[in-house]
Amino acid sequence: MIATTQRAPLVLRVAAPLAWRGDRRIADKLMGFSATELGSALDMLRAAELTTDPDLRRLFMKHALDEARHAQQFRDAAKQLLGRDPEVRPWERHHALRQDLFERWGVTRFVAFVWISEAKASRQFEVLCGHFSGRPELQDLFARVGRDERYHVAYSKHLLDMWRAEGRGAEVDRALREIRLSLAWMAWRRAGRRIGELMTLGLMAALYVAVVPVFALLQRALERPQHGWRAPRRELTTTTLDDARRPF
Amino acid sequence: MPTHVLGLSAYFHDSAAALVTDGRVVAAAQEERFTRTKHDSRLPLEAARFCLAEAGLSIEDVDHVVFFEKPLRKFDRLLVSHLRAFPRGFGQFSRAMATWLGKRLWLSSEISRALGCAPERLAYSEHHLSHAASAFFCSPFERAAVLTADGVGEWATTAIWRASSGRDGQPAKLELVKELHFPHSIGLLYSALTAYLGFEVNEGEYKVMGLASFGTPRYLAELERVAHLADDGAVTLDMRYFCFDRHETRSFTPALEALLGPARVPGTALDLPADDGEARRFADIAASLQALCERAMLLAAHEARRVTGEDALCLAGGVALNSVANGRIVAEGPFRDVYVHPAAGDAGGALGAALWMSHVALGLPRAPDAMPNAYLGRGYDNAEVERFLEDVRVRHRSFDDPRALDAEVARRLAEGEVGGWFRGRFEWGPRALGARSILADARDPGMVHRINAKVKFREPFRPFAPAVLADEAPRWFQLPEGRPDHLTPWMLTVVPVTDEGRRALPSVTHVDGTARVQSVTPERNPDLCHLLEAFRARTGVGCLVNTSMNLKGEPICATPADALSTFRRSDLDFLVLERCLVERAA
Repeated sequence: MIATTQRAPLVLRVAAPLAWRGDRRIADKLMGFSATELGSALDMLRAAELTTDPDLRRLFMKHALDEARHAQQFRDAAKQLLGRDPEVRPWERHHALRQDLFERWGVTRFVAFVWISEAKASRQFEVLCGHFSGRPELQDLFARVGRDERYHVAYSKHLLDMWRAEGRGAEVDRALREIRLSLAWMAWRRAGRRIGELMTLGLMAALYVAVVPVFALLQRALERPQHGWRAPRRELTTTTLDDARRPF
Repeated sequence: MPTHVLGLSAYFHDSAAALVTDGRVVAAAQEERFTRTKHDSRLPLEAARFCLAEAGLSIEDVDHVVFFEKPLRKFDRLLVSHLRAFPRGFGQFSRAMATWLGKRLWLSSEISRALGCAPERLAYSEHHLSHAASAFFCSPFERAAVLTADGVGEWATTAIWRASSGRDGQPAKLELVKELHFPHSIGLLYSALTAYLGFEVNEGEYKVMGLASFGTPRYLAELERVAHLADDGAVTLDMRYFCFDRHETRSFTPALEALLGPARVPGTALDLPADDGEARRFADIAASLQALCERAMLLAAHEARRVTGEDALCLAGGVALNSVANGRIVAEGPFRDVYVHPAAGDAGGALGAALWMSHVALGLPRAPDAMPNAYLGRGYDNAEVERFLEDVRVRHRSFDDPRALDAEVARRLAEGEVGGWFRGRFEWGPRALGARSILADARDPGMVHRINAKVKFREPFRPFAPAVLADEAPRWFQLPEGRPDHLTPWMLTVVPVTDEGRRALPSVTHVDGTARVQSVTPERNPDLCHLLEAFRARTGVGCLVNTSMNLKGEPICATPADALSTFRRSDLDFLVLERCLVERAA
């Protein structure tokens, strides 16, 4: 069974033309997608290793390979877009990280997460497919990836439905609730981190202007440039267990 | 009661964990193999858990947890660097301070919390001390000079040590003789020029080494203005050309470009040897840098010999992964015997820290053959692999007789196929040594192109390395005569290929007629040895191309799932997982 996804929300359709304009910006976003897909591939691969259920292992492995392929396709498309603009290298800004979701959440919540996030991705790709109707290479990319995502939505929904039919409905509903809450909490934390980073930047700027100059002047006045080999400073050598207890 | 010491390295690049029990290395692994994030620098929790599981221990059983460097001394260097650079470098200052004040200054509590170990069991080695210990205590020497060289540790960038095993119940000694301090660093010079040549720092240094063979060192005079090299091997960088002390993503200044010409834009083609323009210039700069690096290491080796009087040398630190320089130290240096640690980079610091604690701080006697091989990572038994393949419904052939598997793989390789080889515990260090390798026929001149097209997608100027039966190695490669060979088992040196080798093994002969050889013995790697013997029985040649099993930008495979994922995303013809053979049609 292939799932039908809900129509994409208005906000996605309105935001697409604003967010996806200009080749540099598009490439940057594609690289962001690539990193997300690769991170997802790593989590699915990990789930395939950890699960003891043969059917889940097969599904997770296939999912991992799909996500890794998408990551490569997004990356290739980004590089293609910037082929003549080598000064910009967005792939250096985006890094894929595994989040160990299967270990943290267990199988039910993990599959609930897959269903929710893949459905969201599927809707987003549907919007982007429409947005890039004038650029066949990007439209085709999102259409191809979207097809796979719909399969991921379908198999995860099938699993959740199957578990419901086995009398685990309450567990599935709880997992879905918890995952929705977790996603909201993660979004809040991301926003909080950004706010924190801005505040830190301000604080560091104040420190850099008000405090650092004094010490910089002192440093310059007192320091004698030294080149070449130096003899070790005996008081700083680490030779005993007591020395090793010091972090300095 | 045995004494267990867990070593950790983290927070720069290549974090790792290593477990040493009574001076013997039980397990060691880089975090990237588990997390699948290349050069992962986070605290190596998964690697640590693996090490403990491998030994059947829990963290409560561990007597000491040793971090490989002194964090506060590193913070001191960071502060001083920023004071020196003021008012430049605010960007890096703010990021670095946020990282340090938010996390790294509280390392002790972070490690204790993450691993669940008591804070009083935590200790700190020093960066270069850890490197030195990793090399000396894994070497076969009773006493030696030790030379450590890398980008930078706390303050030191290069150091010379005198090392000796403890006698009559005395602890072993690792005595620092002299050191060079930041920013004067041959490792940072190499990294900065790696960035100038358009490659990623801490990743592209091997590429520079490969590129160097295509050039002539006609920029040596210019580089000597940038980095003054004294007769005693001390390097002094002219910091007008560099900004790695104040800039996070850029390591050289416009002055370097004014001197050497515009830097290479990353990703632009290097069509060598055909391109006589910019590609040639970059190759010449790489050759000049390599020549300078080799000279610096040779001079430092002479200085180590002079100040210690020892006739054996141990090498560690990232610069010790420069296999061309290692080859010159062996061939032209003043030492009778040379040993290089297989994980000479920062990962090796984890093992060094644990060994230092065991032998120097705790005074445990050295175990004979503390690290007999470099297969210290996780392994999988055949039943586990078979169950995995059956679960994911991958058709495969299972071989009860491993010799039959060897014969089948040898036949396929001899027919020109390229295959993955996943056997035993994975390797410690950056090289694939036949546990997680891609293998191919070294006799086929088109093999480099085929491996690149099928799986590696490497720059065409980069060479592939050979794995050769140790008894056959002298036929194909000019190994140093009359002295023990501690480097070729770990692919840590480059040697000239014999005339017969150049004719017979074109795929592993680099443009300059050299190869980075791995010699294989039944004691170190029986599985690969049997395969090479089967290949020799079929072809008369006991040598194969051996390159790491990974796709571009990914860490080397660790698990059967990683290997299968790599196989499925590449055009490899077959994959051997323990005693199972997966074919392309599957």
